[in-house]
Order: sequence, then C-alpha cells, then structure tokens
Amino acid sequence: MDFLELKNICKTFGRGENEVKALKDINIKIGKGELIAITGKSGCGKSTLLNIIGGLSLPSSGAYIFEGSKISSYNQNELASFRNRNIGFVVQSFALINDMTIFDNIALPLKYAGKKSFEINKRVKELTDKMELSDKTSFFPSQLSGGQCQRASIARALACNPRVFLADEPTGALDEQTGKNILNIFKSLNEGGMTVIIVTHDLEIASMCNRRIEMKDGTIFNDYNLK
Amino acid sequence: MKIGIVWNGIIRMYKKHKWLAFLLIVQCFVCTLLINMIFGTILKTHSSVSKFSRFIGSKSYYWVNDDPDDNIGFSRYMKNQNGEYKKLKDFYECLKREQSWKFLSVDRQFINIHSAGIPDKFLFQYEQGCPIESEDKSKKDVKCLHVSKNVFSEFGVTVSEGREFQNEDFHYDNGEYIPIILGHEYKDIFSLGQILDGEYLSETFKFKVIGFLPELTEIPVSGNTGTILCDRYIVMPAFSFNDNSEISFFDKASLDHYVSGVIISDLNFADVEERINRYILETGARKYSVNPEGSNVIKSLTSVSESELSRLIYIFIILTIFTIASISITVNGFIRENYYEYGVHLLSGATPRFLVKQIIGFITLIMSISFAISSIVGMFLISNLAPLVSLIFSVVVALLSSVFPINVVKKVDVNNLIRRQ
Repeated sequence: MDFLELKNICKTFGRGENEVKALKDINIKIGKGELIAITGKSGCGKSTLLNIIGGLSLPSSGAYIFEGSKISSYNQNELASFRNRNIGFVVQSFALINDMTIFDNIALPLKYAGKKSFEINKRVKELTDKMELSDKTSFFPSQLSGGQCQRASIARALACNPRVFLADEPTGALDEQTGKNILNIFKSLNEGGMTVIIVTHDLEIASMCNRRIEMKDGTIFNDYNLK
Repeated sequence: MKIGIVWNGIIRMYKKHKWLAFLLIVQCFVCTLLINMIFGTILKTHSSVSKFSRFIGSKSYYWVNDDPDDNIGFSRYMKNQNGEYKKLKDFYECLKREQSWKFLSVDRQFINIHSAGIPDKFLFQYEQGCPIESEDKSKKDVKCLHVSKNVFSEFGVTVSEGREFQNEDFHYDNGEYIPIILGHEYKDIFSLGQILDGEYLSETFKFKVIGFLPELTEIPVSGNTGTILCDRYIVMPAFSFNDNSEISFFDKASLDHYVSGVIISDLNFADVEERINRYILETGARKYSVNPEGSNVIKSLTSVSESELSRLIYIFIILTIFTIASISITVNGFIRENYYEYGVHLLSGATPRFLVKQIIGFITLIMSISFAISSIVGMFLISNLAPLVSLIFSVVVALLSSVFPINVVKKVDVNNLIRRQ
C-alpha cells in the first residue's frame, strides 16, 4: 500500500464566470521517506496541491488517501487533528505569531495536541537545541533573522513528530547561504526517514531532491526520479 | 491545556485591542444601564397603575376646583361679603357628607420655611423653571401638599419612617405644632422630630416633622391630570380651624384651598356635576366646577403608561440592536485583523471550534464586565432587580452578537489565511 495517494484530484475556486480550475485530474502516489520537489511556474497549482496534501484544504473532487484513510472525506475538526498528528508545515513567510515568543510559537502544536507542561518544555528544548535556537526562546520573531525565524518555523513543524514534512517556497525569503542551510536541514530530516515535499520554482533546490513533479496549468506535466 | 489556550487567546485578543474592548465595555455598560432604567420605569408605571387599581378599582375620578377667572367672586369671598365664608363652608361640608362619593381634599401650596439650607429643587414651581424665591434668603417657599384624613388610606400612602397623620392632627389649636410628613429627598436635610418655623397662607406656625414618605410616593392632586411625585414635597394635614374665633384671612384662604380636591365615585360625570351644581345652589356658595379630565384615573394612568411603554419598547429595541451590531461588527473586525494568526493556529492543529470558542469567550468577557458594573451601579441607582435585568440582557446580547462573527470564523480558509500576511 502506498503511503500517500491522490486519485483524480480536482480543485476549483470561484463559481460561474469566475470559476478557476486550479488542479485538473491529479494522480500521484508517494512512498514513505521520499524527498520530492514540486516545481512549476507561478499559478500552476503547486501550492494548491501542497495544501491538499497537508490537509489545509479539501479537493473539489477525487480522493486523497493517507495510509489507507480517506482524508478527502474528513470534516474540519478531523482535518485539524490530521494536520496536528501527521503534517509539519513550513511556508515562505515563516507563519510565526509576532507577539508570541519563539518558545510559545514552537509549543503551539504541542498545546493543541494536549501535551502536559513538562512534556512541552522538554520537547521545545530538544527542538531549539537541534535548530540552534536555545538562546533565542524568549525572543520574539521580530528580534530574529530570517534564517532563525525559518528554523523556528521548522522546529514548530517538527514539534509533534509529523510523518510528512511540507515546505512551500521555504527559502524564498532567505539569502542563498541561509537557504542552503535550511535545505540541509530538510535533507537530514529525510535521511532520518521522514517524507519531505518541497514546493519551489527554483530548479537548483529541485535538483537536490530524489523525485521531481513538474506541474503546468493544474496538471502534472512530468514526474520523474532524479536519483 | 486546551481551555488554557482558549483563555490565553481571549486575553491576547483583549490586550491587542484594549481600547476598542474598553469602549465596547463602556457601550455595553451604558446600554445595560439604560435597559435597567427603561425596565425600572416600566415597573414603576406598572406599580402606579396596579396601586391605583387596588385602591380605586373601577371608580371614576373627578377634580373639583374654583373658577380661576372668577376674580369678583373670589374677592367677595375674601371680604366675606354676604356671609360668603359660611356659604363655602356649608358647600365643603356637603362635599364631605355626600354618600355617593368620597371627597378628598388635596391641593398644592407652598410653605415659607425659615431655613436657608434647603436646596432650590424643593422650591415651589422649581420643576416649571420659575421657582418662587423669597427676598429674605434665610426663608424658602417650598412645595407642599395639604391632604384630608382619607387621602393616605384611599391612595395607600404609607410612611417609611415615623408615623402617619392621626385624627388629632387635623385639628389645630394656637400654640400647637403642625405635624408634617416630608418627601423622601428631605431625609438628608431634616430629621424626625425636628421643629421648623414657617409661614403658611401668611400665618406663622411651628411645624414638626413626624414622618418621611417612601421614595417615589405619588398622590393625585386636584387640577392635575395625573399624580405628583412627593419626593420633594412637604405633606401637611388639611386641618380644621376654630369656629368660635373671628374669621381670619387664614381661615378664608385655607377653606378656599380645602374645597379644591378629588371626588372618587361610581357616578358618571353628568350626575356628579348635577349634584355639585345643586349643592352650590342650596348653599349659595360661589362657583366651583368639576372637571371630567382624567375622569377614570386607571384609564388615564394606563393610557399614559401605554404610550410611554411603547416609546420605551422602541428605545429598548433600538438600543439592543445597536449593541448587538456594535459587538458583531467590532469582533468581526478583530477576526479579519487576526486572519493570519488564526491561520497559524489552524496550521498548528487548532480546530475552527477553537476559534469559535475564542470569539464567544471574548464577547462573554466583554458582556461579563459590563454586566458586573451595571448590576452594581443599577442596584444602587435603579432597582434591586438590576442584576437580573442586566444578566438577561447580557446573555441575549452575547448570544445574538456571536452569530455573525462565528459564521465568519466557520468559513475561514486556512490556505487563504496564511497567504494574507
């Protein structure tokens, strides 16, 4: 059985004359431990696809199956639980809450998972040590550099030990060196057995992955293994 | 832990928008207080109606007054030409003796009290905007009501302190004190048993405070289509005078006032008028008229309260809609401002239900604070029912004003939320 499968996925936004078909009949199978890049030009549907995989939105039609469970028929509360337990999400804008400390930002998914205080403290310490942010836990996002913010964002995404790690243009707001460092973190996560899916329009980043899914006008144009 | 997140979210929302939240609390407090005032007025009107219903039942109610334009008749009476005083006194006795009605002598006057410490609000005609002020600042012309024996029992008037008038209070002998009962607002100025010097109808008397009326005591008064609120009035007995002495100015002036009063009867207006005119003819007294205005006090009070009530209900509806709309719009604004943050929460595993709880919690916090303040203030200023009225109003407003923001939250799209940054 495949770890993650998308069957005939379509996603439509708007109605009538304003209707836009963002995804058209997408079929993908993803195995455990893959490192995948989804590429394509702006507006080709790659972020929409990532949001469906991450349980952030539901397809208009088709089936999304995750380890045998049909996620596409989940309600909002079930999706929230699915995201919390299985998905780590990193976005270009970091998605950190500005008036919360780095500690509180990283602790947020753990709180929603119902963890106790001592468990939260322990896990946040592990993650901040790993991301080299131990001395920044009481800082606010505005007091950190872009790279540090993205590392904090990764730490939060990893807080609940997700099965799949999704990154939407994760280096878009970072300089080249910082971007490389972030990508190295993704690679090491993948080497640890985690499935990592990166949405990017940067072909250099895509070349570092094992598989590349190229999208065009809401369809899969190419899907090939790189290594 | 999850309750903790919701609570932290509410507090953060409050801190982030503390001025708007503060203004919302003030607005809700003012609206709740106004609702309490409206309710208090409705309750007061209702209690006035039910009180008069209890004491008067379905009887009709007429005013007896002299003709204010009959200057010649009045002048002749005051000069006691042709025994006018005796004629009026006989007419007064006829009014009191008539079996088919009850005659209550009750009319407004003023007493000149020798006390500089009385505030202006107690002055005669203060509410009309033209208070009578004495040249001597140490004396004050204050509002007073004289009442016959049966006024207290007929209208269910009681005292909150001291005692009511007794039979002996309605007969005055030289050198005695005239017992007076003071309206509620006099409590801060005079005390029980205090003796006051003053003049009534140009005669000097000593007045003794024997009681205080409860707050909001109302008495129907001759010439008035409704009742008067007695909180700023001195109530004195319509006392009798010494028949054997020479007829004084005071005797004539007081009798003239005592004949003005209220008739409560089962008879219709035509019958009452016919009997009044017959007594005038029989006694030869000068012209007095009976007025049909407000001939049924219940009808009069009810019609006043009904028009007042419908006005108050309109104000109540407008205020409630205004409060609900303000909260809904403001909270909706908060939600839109916090879209990105909600997106992060949803991304981290929050359910839309968490956001709904946070919105309900925030509105509940606003309404709870305004409820607490308005309950305390309302209890002191309006009525003991203020906490109950405030609670009902707060719960209704909180529930209705949550509907719109909750619908907005339920429709949020996480994907869009994150991209809005």
